[in-house]
Amino acid sequence: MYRKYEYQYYLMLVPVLAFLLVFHIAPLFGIVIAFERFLPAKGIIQSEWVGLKYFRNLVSLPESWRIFRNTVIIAIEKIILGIVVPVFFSILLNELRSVHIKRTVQTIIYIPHFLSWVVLAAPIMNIFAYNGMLNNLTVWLGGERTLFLSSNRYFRGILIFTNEWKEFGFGTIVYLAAITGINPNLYEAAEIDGASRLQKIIYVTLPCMRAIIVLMLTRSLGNVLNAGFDQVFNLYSPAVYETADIIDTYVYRVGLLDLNYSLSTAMSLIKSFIGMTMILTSNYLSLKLADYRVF
Amino acid sequence: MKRTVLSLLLALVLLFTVMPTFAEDAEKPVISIGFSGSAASLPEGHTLDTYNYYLEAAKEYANCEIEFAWNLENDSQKVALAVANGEMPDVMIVDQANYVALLDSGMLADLTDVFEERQDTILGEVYAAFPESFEAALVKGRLMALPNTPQQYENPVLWVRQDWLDKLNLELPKTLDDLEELMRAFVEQDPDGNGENDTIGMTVIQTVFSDYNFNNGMESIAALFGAYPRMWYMQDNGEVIYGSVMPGIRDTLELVARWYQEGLIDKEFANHTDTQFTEQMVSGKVGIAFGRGALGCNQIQNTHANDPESYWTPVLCPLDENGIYYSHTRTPVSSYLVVSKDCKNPGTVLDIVIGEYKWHWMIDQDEVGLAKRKEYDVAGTLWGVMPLHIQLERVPIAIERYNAFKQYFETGSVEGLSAQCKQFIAAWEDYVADNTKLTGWGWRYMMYDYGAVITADNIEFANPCYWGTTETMKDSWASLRSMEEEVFVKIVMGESDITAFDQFVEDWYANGGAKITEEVQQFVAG
Repeated sequence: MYRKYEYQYYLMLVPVLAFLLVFHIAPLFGIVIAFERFLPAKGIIQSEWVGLKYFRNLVSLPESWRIFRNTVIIAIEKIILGIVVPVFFSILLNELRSVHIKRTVQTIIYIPHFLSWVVLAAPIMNIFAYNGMLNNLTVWLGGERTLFLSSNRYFRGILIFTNEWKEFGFGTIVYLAAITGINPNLYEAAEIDGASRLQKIIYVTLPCMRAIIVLMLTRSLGNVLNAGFDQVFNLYSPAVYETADIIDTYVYRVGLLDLNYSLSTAMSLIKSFIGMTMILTSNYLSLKLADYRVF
Repeated sequence: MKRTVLSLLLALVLLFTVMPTFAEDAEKPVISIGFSGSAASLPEGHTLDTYNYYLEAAKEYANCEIEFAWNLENDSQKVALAVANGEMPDVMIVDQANYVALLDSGMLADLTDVFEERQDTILGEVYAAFPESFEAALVKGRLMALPNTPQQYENPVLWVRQDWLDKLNLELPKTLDDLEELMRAFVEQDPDGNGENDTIGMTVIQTVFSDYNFNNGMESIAALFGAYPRMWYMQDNGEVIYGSVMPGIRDTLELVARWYQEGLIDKEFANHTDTQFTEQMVSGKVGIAFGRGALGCNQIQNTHANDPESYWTPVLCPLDENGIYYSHTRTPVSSYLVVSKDCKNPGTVLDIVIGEYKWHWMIDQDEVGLAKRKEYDVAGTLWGVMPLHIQLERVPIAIERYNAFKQYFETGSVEGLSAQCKQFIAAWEDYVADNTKLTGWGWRYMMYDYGAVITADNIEFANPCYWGTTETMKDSWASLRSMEEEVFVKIVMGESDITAFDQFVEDWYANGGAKITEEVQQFVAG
């Protein structure tokens, strides 16, 4: 069913395909580095082949279990909060009558999304510092000062909380858009049936949002091993390695700073593999559970 | 006819005199440099990469053009990238790990011959004075890099706020107990007199022990307990041991942990980098810090600029019962100037180094050159702006400078001193005439006050027996180091008790440490 005017659309696709080819497909050959003792000057072809040496190395590292556990815990907590908070907030926003306030709130909570962690790290460290705002408040309320940023008890919580603060505005907008797309007839019908506001949310809004929630969840599950390098890296210190050292920060310290490219590549390869498995699984599950698939 | 011949002749002569200059210009080699210094304050119109006196002096002496592959202040990533791509500029300055990587990949030029041609320049002088540095860059008898010369007498001593001491009527500390008492006084007795409990006894580096014997490390305390952290140490029985697993470290950590518990050291040390430490010190919150001489012309000078009442005194503390202070010397070589094997004029690269140093040390300089040098000193321009910033010395400078100031203070004369020392003393005289010119004030602290302390004869220095990278280190060193930092910080903060140290030692040996120790032992044995 070839139609003449379609070729322009395919033409528009060319730059995207080229981008994909150059930046995502071509570098895949670099995976080979994980299986050799890579020396930059010798290049990929001439470096010595060592097989699975670096993978064995990784597994035998004293910290390997710990960094894996930290990564998964931090990432999953972020994923769960990253869905619950924006969904909740978008419903609240949607119930507001004044369009003006709605718009303003929406813009304000969206702003932190555009700031990078390098910038945000300084104010966050000040707020949670020993002589910082939070501790001053605690003392004023009669509590004791705590070293939040060097405490394995609090650090992970701070990571999750600040990340949510930064990102929930972005999520909210996505869900708000989904809510706007709900057919108003459904609400009218519910109203005629005598549904209260809460009942309308539970029986109309939430079910209609199911598809987009599943889509977002599927997307984020692929990131289960991405716990946010820039955030952790800018906030952590050796004192909280135990709870905050994630795969990416560890690879940075051990791999890049010591020029161990092969080890870093091996670690990234494992990460990508698990990420891919998660995406495939969640896509399959979403088809089963929500009758919705991404691809 | 005669006239025509004559004019033709003259024209020819003219042509020949002009020609060589043309030819020379065309042949001037271009050297591309990966910059590794630091952007200091430069006078108006001067820049790091296009025009400054160091650059001009280097270009003139080496008769070449210089271009910069990069000119960022902190280039460690650029170097890493250059190593990763296998595309390095003609010359750059790298650390031990990158040097080994480049050497392994066969990317470096052999400098043996070009160096020998320059044996009778200052470059020859430099390595004749520090042969152990020179040997560090020899591979099978061939010179593969220009190593830096060691910074002798650059060990940390204890710096104490003298004005706080005076205010509280206390004395300079000598023993470990004195130190503890002093910290307690500084924390509890409100030495800055603002009525708030906001002073810090002592600052401690984030990793408890520092890498290169830098500021805020607890090395001197460990050394008192007979341990030398982060250094390969040769024991009396001929066996090498990694300093951080020595039993003395356990005692040190136990002590520092108690200090932390009692609030004598900075509560937030684990989150503080050098920047925050400097802020704390300059804002007048810190009373005691371990630091090198350079503390005098940086943090201490700035503290004084902020609060003219503040004075610091360097002192040897803690001493043992015989009055001896223990410290370990820095790694003889920590950075290397490496030349790419694709560089066409490695000799010119060495000439650049000679040229910039001749100007820096004021050798063979006329009045104009000296005036320019003075201009830089006044502007506070540091030698970090050198196009090739590799640290070289011809004599142990700490001693030379200390003696220069001593001679000046005792006799009032600068007879027979090197041009550079004269410049330092002139800066001090500037300060005496106008006490807002703190450059000389800082230098006096760094060179004279600190110099007197560090060249005293009641110091015992331990030397590292190895500082390279063994085969197993390439795979496991980073993870061992990461483990070490974490365990030490947690012990000090009280998150783990001291038995975690015993566990650490066991883990350290089990996870590659034993093998590495064996490799180092073999290397040392030859």
